[in-house]
Amino acid sequence: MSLFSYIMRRVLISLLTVFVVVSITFFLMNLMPGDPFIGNKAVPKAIKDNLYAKYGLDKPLFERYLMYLGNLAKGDLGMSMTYKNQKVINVIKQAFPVSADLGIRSLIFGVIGGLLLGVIAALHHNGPWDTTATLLAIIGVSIPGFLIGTLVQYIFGFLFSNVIKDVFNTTYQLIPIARWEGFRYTLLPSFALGFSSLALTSRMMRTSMLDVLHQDYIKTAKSKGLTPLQVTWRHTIRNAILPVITVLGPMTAAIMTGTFVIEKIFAIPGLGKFFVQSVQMYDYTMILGLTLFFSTFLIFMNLVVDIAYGFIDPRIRLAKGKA
Amino acid sequence: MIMEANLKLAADAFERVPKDIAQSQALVRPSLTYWKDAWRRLKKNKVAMVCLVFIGLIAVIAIAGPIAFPNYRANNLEKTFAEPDSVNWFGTDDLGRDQFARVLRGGRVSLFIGVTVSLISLTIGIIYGGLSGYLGGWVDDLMMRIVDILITIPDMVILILLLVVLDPGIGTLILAMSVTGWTGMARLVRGQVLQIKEADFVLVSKVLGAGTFRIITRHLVPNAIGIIIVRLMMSIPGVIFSEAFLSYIGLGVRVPEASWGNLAEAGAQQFPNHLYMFFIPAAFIMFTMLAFNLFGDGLRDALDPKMRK
Amino acid sequence: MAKKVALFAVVLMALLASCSNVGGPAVNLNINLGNEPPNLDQHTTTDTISIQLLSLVVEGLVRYDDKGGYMPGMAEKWEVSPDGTVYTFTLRKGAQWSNGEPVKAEDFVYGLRRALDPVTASEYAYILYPIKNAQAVNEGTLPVDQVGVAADGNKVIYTLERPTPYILSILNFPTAMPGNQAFIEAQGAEYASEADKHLYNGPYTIKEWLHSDKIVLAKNPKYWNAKNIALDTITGYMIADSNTSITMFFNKELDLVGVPGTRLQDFTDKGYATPTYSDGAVFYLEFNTLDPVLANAKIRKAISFAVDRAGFTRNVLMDQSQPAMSIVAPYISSGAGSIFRDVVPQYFNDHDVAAAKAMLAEGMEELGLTELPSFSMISDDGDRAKSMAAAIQDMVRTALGVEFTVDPMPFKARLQKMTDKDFQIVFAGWGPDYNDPMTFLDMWTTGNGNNHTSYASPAFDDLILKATNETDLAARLEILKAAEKMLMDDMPIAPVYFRMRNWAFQENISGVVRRNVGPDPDLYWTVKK
Repeated sequence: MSLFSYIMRRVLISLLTVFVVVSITFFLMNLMPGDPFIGNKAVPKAIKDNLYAKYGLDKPLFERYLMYLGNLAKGDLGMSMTYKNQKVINVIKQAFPVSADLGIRSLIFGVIGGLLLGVIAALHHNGPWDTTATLLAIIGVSIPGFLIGTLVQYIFGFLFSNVIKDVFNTTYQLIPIARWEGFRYTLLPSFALGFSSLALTSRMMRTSMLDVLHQDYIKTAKSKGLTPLQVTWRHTIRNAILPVITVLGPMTAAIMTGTFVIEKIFAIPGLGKFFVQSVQMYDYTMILGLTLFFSTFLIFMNLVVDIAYGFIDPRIRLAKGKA
Repeated sequence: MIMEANLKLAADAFERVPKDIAQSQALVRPSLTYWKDAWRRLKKNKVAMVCLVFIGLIAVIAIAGPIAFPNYRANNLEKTFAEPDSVNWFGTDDLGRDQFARVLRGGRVSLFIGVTVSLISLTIGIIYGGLSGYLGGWVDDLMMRIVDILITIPDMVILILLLVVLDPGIGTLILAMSVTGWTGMARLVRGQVLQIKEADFVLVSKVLGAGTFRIITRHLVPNAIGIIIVRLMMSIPGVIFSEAFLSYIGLGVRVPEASWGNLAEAGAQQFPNHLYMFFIPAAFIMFTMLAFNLFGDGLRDALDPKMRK
Repeated sequence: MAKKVALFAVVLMALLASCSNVGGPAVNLNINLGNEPPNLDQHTTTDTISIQLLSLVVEGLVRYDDKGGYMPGMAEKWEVSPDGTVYTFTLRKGAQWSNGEPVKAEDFVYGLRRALDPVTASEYAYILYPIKNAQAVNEGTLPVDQVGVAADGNKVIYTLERPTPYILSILNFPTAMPGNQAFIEAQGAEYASEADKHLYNGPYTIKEWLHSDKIVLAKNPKYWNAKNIALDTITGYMIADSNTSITMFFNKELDLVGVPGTRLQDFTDKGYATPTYSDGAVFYLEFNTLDPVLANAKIRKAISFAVDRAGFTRNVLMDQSQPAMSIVAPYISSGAGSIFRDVVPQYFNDHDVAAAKAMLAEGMEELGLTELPSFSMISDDGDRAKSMAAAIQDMVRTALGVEFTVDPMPFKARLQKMTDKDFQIVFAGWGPDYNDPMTFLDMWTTGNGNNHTSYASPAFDDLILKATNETDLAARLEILKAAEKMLMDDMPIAPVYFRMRNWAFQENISGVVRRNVGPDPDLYWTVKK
């Protein structure tokens, strides 16, 4: 099967999956006994009726479902019911790049750092480097995000920056407390967010490396007289990285589509808050739009990872060479 | 080994071993069962043993602690935000409640949720994944396609949806987290079953005439259960984490129930004041996570049949 | 009283300072809005963030002044007909929209019609119902041009259903504000969704709007009173986390910040003043009177009397909020030239455990119960809300041995349960819509949409009806007093506290007006040196 037909097949399956996901979410969500327009102050029935008519909520469920699918086919995700004059698609268009930016930064920090730590730990198995790396990794997966976020924000954004201000007698804020305006602003949230992926990646990489180091082909490579660097790079890492790559898809999708906690603590205008808020506010169109976006993105990332896997896995290349 | 072929050996150095049909059929060392062997190896791993002791201690605390210090909900508005002292060992919170009693109570609640959700996810996962992998063919395809779809819906949307619709409480939390938690386990179990089904040693066993029961007990269970138990150990801290996150967005346990998640969240709200409220629950979460993770690592090494020497 | 003095001082400083900023560098005020404004369309908005921003960018006929009265806005002057049903406003000459078009009388007519048009589906359209035919138009039984508003040259004429003393406060509400028909219709559904999809006639325009991040207002040079507007720009950040906003304030990145009771000491330690103001809100327990046990007034009173309100405000809220043993908030005018709360302070004693026990015993006897079933209470899911609910839960248990379960839930889920009457007890609150005791009282009439208790007392309904029709203000006050007393005798709601809020500002800031009805904080007079 050529790469092209493989991708086409995957895309078709993906479209079907997304369709089913949207349908499930649509009906599940409408089982919620909630009224998106409920407010602290009661509103006369006539006004409620006007609102329901405006958003098409007065129609039977199945008709609404068909209408939604019809609009979807035209690329229209509808208007948010919380942010009344915002199109759902615009909200995603504005918030996703911010979340993606933060996500990529923390992934770069987390994945590269994690791989490095994992390799170092495995090569110095049971040595002090291994202990240090493992400990760092385990601490990373052991502290909830809101604790790390709160802590680093106060220590670096406030205490440390104030020391800098005192020492250099300046008002320059070296590491900002919150918000998203430039490189300096990205440091703390990227660290806080990337810490857990760093931990996860380094743990996986270490285990995988140890696994590979016990394989016969490594012994073969060594006995062939390859230098330790060549063995590590061409044989160990190449093979050990494979299982790590498979988790990168879901991890990337999850991190790039926004994380509620870190975005809230650091006041970052990303997508994370909408996932929580839309459900709590019964914002039907927003819930559907986000689910659609998330599932499409996740499927896309998995596809990318699978293709990347093919390029990295030495066995797959071998098979191609034979054919 | 081949090089040793040149050694000269005296014939009388050897003794004839009588033919014993029964013994030659056995492929395992009979003196050690799988579990005994695993336990022996686990005992050698000091870190894992320390963690096991710690987990045991936490479990005892979670069970017995709230019985010994039951007063987790009584307010004392005249003594709010008291630093740790001889009466309130971990200080008091914003309502003057004893943080020590609350941390004990929180441990019980968090661990209970963690263990229950993990066990439920495990059970569903084993049944679903096992069935899918065992039956194979189009049934497997269909069952896995369903899992793919469920995994694609954002967890957070399903979790919050269920928590908003159903009445809050530990039961709802467990239900919601189990609904989103079992899919990963199902995939894992299926993968294991498929892998083992195709493995050479299973084929060898079959050829040697081993029955289905023997294959399941001697090959499937030892090979799969290690990974499954390790996954279970790793999933408990994950659930405790999710509970902490849900507490952070306000969808945790009922008032005045305590969980480590909501205690840490309450501490984070007071940050940077009353640091004991922040660091004590955070330390309990962290050390418990550490223990589960490190013990999980040790257990993986111990249970892995490939590591037998 | 202290609040009034403080307010006056702030304003005085502002007046003294307002002349000084000429030709200096641009002055920018940093504030925290807390969240993205959900809807800046003046005719459909309902939330406080949007209302606060709209008060700075869109101006109606009049606006609130800094002393609790009204000042001219787009209208230069206005007249009232002798029978109090026709209001004629004369528009100011030269007022412009930000696209250069003049603000015309027709814009007010269009605005009102748009707000009431069923197709617009404005949630707060009902507050315009005192205007003639407004309700019929909104319900779709009359065409929109039948509503009682007309343009006559530079005059806007409103005809009312009946004399309505608080009509200026209604016309000051965003829902009644003008709109430029051509512009609004050109934008369609996305009107007010971006900075350039909105038209401004207020003291500021929106220069930049980064969603969920920040919104920058710039002084509007075309505004009629521009010479008295001291700030060049106002930057409103959207920081949801209260700890983050406080840290930023201490770092001088914010000029104003709200201070929760638990953080007051930090501000005092750092030398900041933390003035207090009433936002007019009252918080109470609502009992579902359809519940077989809570149908008994004595059981409800027992729970109410058992609450230690003084302890609650002092040690749980830790701020200057006041114990509530009545329902109309402090600072609300009696309508007869006094403050209502000064006339009648309270109806029962706080934390009266003996009375609570007696009530419980009597109530249980009336119900023929020997043991009280456990109650469930719903509350909001914020950290503070949970603590408050836990405190009340513990007070009632300690005093009466009555068990409560507390279910915290998201805001809208709680409202849904209240509306569906699917609760036993709920911890809820109410803020005033206008400055009159009626805003706290008429909601408890039979069948009122805000009366989630299902309390139905024909005698109470009758008092409210009488008060509505009473034109003699002293007599009306007596009826309102009787109504509040009846409510407290039947106790379908147990008041807990009147909220007071604290805030802090950097020392170079002055002229911030805080109020309990209308946009808050109002930055019209704010100065930064």
